Order: sequence, then structure tokens, then C-alpha cells
Amino acid sequence: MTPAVCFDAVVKRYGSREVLSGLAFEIQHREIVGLLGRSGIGKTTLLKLVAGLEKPTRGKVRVQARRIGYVFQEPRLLPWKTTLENVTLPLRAAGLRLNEAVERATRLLAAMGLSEFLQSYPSQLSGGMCQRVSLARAFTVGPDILLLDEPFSSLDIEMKNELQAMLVERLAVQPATVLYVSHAPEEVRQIADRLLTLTAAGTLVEASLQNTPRPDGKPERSGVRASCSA
Amino acid sequence: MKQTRLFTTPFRDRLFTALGLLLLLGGWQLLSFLTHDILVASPAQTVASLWDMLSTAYFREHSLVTLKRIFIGILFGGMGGFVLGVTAGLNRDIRNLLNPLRWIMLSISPVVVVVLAMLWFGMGSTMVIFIASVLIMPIVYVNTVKGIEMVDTTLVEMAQLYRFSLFMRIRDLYTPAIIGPLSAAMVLVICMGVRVVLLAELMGANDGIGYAVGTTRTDLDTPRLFAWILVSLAMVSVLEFCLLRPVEKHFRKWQS
Repeated sequence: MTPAVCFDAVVKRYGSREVLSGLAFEIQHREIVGLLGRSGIGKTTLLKLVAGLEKPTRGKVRVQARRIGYVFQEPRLLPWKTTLENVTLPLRAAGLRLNEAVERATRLLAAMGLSEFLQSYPSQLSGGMCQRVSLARAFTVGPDILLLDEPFSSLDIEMKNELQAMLVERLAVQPATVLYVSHAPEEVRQIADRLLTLTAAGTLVEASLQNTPRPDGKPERSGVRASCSA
Repeated sequence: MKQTRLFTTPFRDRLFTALGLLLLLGGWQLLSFLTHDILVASPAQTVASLWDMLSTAYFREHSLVTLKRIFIGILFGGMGGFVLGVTAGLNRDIRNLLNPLRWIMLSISPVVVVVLAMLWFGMGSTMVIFIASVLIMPIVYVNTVKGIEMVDTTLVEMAQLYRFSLFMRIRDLYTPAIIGPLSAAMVLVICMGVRVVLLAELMGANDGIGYAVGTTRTDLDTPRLFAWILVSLAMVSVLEFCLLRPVEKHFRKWQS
């Protein structure tokens, strides 16, 4: 079966700086992969390559998905749109009729405990709630692939745990291939099937689900596939 | 709890605005007292002349013609500037292509535009509307391009990810984002529109407030001249508060 995501000798450079060096790995459908690594090492770049927001300098990125959901580090909600409108817009962009989009978004927002805030603007919501709306927006498109870029890093522990539980709950209802970026191993370990660590050299190594990776990012166990299966 | 605009505006702001108005009126009264009637009409003479004029068909005809020209001029100039600004803001090649034209349009003297328009269109409405549009368009264009350049790139990326159509990007992302800088420019545009239309009417039209102002000069009717000035100021206020503010309020309701 064709993998959901396949990186084939992908190189990404910004000017003379090489962020990703010959990256090759696969993610299978419905697999939840945690991606670890220091801040600024290129984890977000990797996600953007999957999302099609960036193009590789060399190599190929193959993605098998009709819809991609993305929860960014910051909520990225349109400040002049209400909660409901923010969640409805991707559905409208996907071609749904207004009433159909509103109905679907309302249902999802209700499931995520945001019924009372449908007509609130982002400035009227707390940071945690905004991120919850962002999570709802990502799920509302029915994503085949869900990209999470340190989605809860700016939240307090309590809110982080709450949203993490909500994410797990939602994934049980709407399974998807997940690439979960974090620099906190304990955060992704709870839900990941597999952990990968992006090293300073711009390569990926597989990390243990049991142990915390070494701070220098060196592998405890290697074995990332070097090419895409047909 | 929601509060009305009246109560959210600080009392101090209103007090100083009223004080500024009183100072202006006082200065005007003093100036009219110190100079001859033919040079500066007093506020009382101006109001009396305005009162006499208000009920006449002459006033209605000239005012409506000017208002129509200002409205159409701002509409054409504003829409043209906005559409070109959005296109150029989203496409660097088009922006570079339009750069020389923008430079010429912003730098050219209004008097040159008036003379050229008179040459091309002769006397009348077409000429006046053309002048207003041509002088307004580059201001709206520049502010639209600047506004689009300043749109939060993370939101642009989000729109790209969720595959917003071009129409959705313009309607839901760019337009609300640039409405702040653009509304400031539109206040300038309205003031400029009124000034330019009056100037064009004075130089090359047989009707309108500009034309009427010209006749007061030949009749040496200074109170009527000042009355027309008040009318033109009222037009700016009407356009700003009845046209611009509601649009601005609609787009900025999320900030309230």
C-alpha cells in the first residue's frame, strides 16, 4: 500500500543554510508519528513540506491525501471572523454550501465544547480556546493527514492536558495520519505510534517510545526507511 | 456589558474638539471684524446668506450636480485604485509594471490634469469626474498595495493551506485586513475629491458649486462665497459620516 507521506532524499535549503539533508522516510496511513527535535532545527519546515506550503530544494515529497488539517503553533484565526466563521471558511473553500458548512462546523464546535462561543471573535477568547478553535478547524475538513506543530506549547499544563485529551478523543472519532511536532517527548509519547527525532545534521533518526531521547538528539535506535515503497 | 459609542468616547476628547471649533469661530469673527466685509464675511452674514440660499432651486441644482460628480469620481477612482491595488499587491510583476504609472500619477500637478481633461473632454461633467477619478485613484492604489503587503503572512499561509479561492482571499482575508489603512486614506480621498471637483467646476463647468463660487467672485458676494464653503464642508461630513463610517464600522465590528 502506498504510504500516506513519503520523503525521498529531500533536501531543503534556505540560502546557504541546509535545514534538511537527504531526508527519506515514510508514514503509513492512520499512523501517528511524533517528531522531536530542538527548536529551530527544521521541524516546522518538514511539516510545511508535507502541507505543500514549501517546496523541497531537491528530492521528492509524496503525499496521499485529499484534505490536510494543520494546527499551527499559534491559532492563526482571522481576527475579524467569529469562531463559527473561522471554522466554516475551510469548508466553504472545499466547496460546501453555506448551510451545510455551518451545520458541520456547529456540530464539531459543540463536540469540542465551544457551543457558547460560536459568535465570539478570537479577541474575546482565551489562548486555550483559540487553539481549540484551531483544532476544530483542522478536524472540520475531515483531514486524511493532520499536522500538529507544537500546538499546545504556549498553553499552561492544565489547558495542555485538556486539549491533548480532546485531540485523542477526536482522533478516535475521526482517525487520520498524524505528524505531531514537539520538542517535549512526554507530550507526543502519549499518543504516538512511532517517534522520530530530527537531528542537527538535518537527518531523521527513530527514537524509542519508552525512553526520552538524548538531549543532543543522537539516535537510540536507527531504522528509518531510506526510500519510498512503490 | 455593551456600551454605546457616545459613552465610550472620552469626555475630554469631545471637550477639546468643541473648544477647537469655538476657537475657529472666534478667529473667524475676529478676522471679519478687523477686515472689510468684501474680504471676509462674518459668521452671522454667512449663516444668513446660507439660509436665504437653502430654499432656492439654484442651491439644490448646483449642490446636487457637485454631489453627483464627487460621488461618481470617488467611486470610479476608489474602485479603480482598489482593484489595481489588490492586483498589484498580490502580483509583484504587475506591481512593477504599474510602478512608473503610479509615480507619474502621484507626481503630476492637479492643474496639469485639469488642463488636459478640458482639452480632451471639453466643459462639463465628464471632465470633472475624470479629473477627480484620476487624482483619487493613485492614493487608493498606493494604500491598498501597502495594506496588502502588511497582511499577516501566517494568515496568508493558513488561507493557502485550506485552499481559499482567490475570491475568498480577497473578501475574507485581504479586504478586512487592509480596511484600517484604507479608511484613513479614504478620509483624505473624500476631502481631496471635494476640493478637486470644485476646482474643476470653477475652471471648466457651467454648473456645480465650483461654478457657483466663481459667480460669487464676479458678483462680489462674499457672504454667499462663504456660504458655499460651508456647503462644501458639509458635503465632506456627509460623505464621511454617511458613506465611509458605516462601511468602516461594518468591517471593524470585531474590534468593538
